[in-house]
Amino acid sequence: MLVLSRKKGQTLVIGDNIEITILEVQGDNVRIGIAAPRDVTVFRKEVYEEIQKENRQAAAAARRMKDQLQQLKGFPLTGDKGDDGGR
Amino acid sequence: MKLISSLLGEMEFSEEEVVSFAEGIPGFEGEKRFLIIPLEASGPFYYLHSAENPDLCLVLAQPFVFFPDYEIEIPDEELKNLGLTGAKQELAVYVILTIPEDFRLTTANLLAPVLVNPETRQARQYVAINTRYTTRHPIFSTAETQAASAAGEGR
Repeated sequence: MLVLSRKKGQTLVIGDNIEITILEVQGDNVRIGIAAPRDVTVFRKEVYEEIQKENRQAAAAARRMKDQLQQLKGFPLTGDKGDDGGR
Repeated sequence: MKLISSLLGEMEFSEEEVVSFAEGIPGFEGEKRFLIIPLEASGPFYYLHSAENPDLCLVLAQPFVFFPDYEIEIPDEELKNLGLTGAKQELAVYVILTIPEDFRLTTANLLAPVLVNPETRQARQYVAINTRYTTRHPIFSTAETQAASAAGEGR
């Protein structure tokens, strides 16, 4: 990993067309401006990791869910039937 | 083509049915080819089954059945990546479900919907930016969900 220091208002350039500017520093919070081509996706790493985790859990659940799927199909979508709660 | 799915048994499909995720899906980046198979004749649930991995299957739902107010902004670039350029072209939107042991507590990932161009069969799980949605929204009504948790606690 490349580690370097930047001051507020300074910019980093990555490759030909990505620029990262430090906009504001407040305590341990850093506001960053990113200028990148529109086909470069940028997202918060923890969000991507959360989606990876959710997908893995969803797939793991799917492996053992034949029965649940049958129930899912028959479940009323509007929830106006009261005869399902006591099982 | 044939695949023996551990969940669905033997599946036969043709190349034209395969939906391709150019970048895979988060958590399964290597899996690019999937099939979308309805659970029943008419929605709202579908399997998203790998066309190559017999053990990889997710469950999708049509979001608007459960969340009529669901809205998500999709950047033009994203649509372009899916081969959608003209205004009249169709886009199918699904959400991935996580189904726990008690299926009534099933949740939908509204933060990252699955977008499919039905014409070209290009697809992508899009991670929404600046949205209040999360990866876990209960799909059944609160009353039903509460009844379900209460029943669970009482066992």
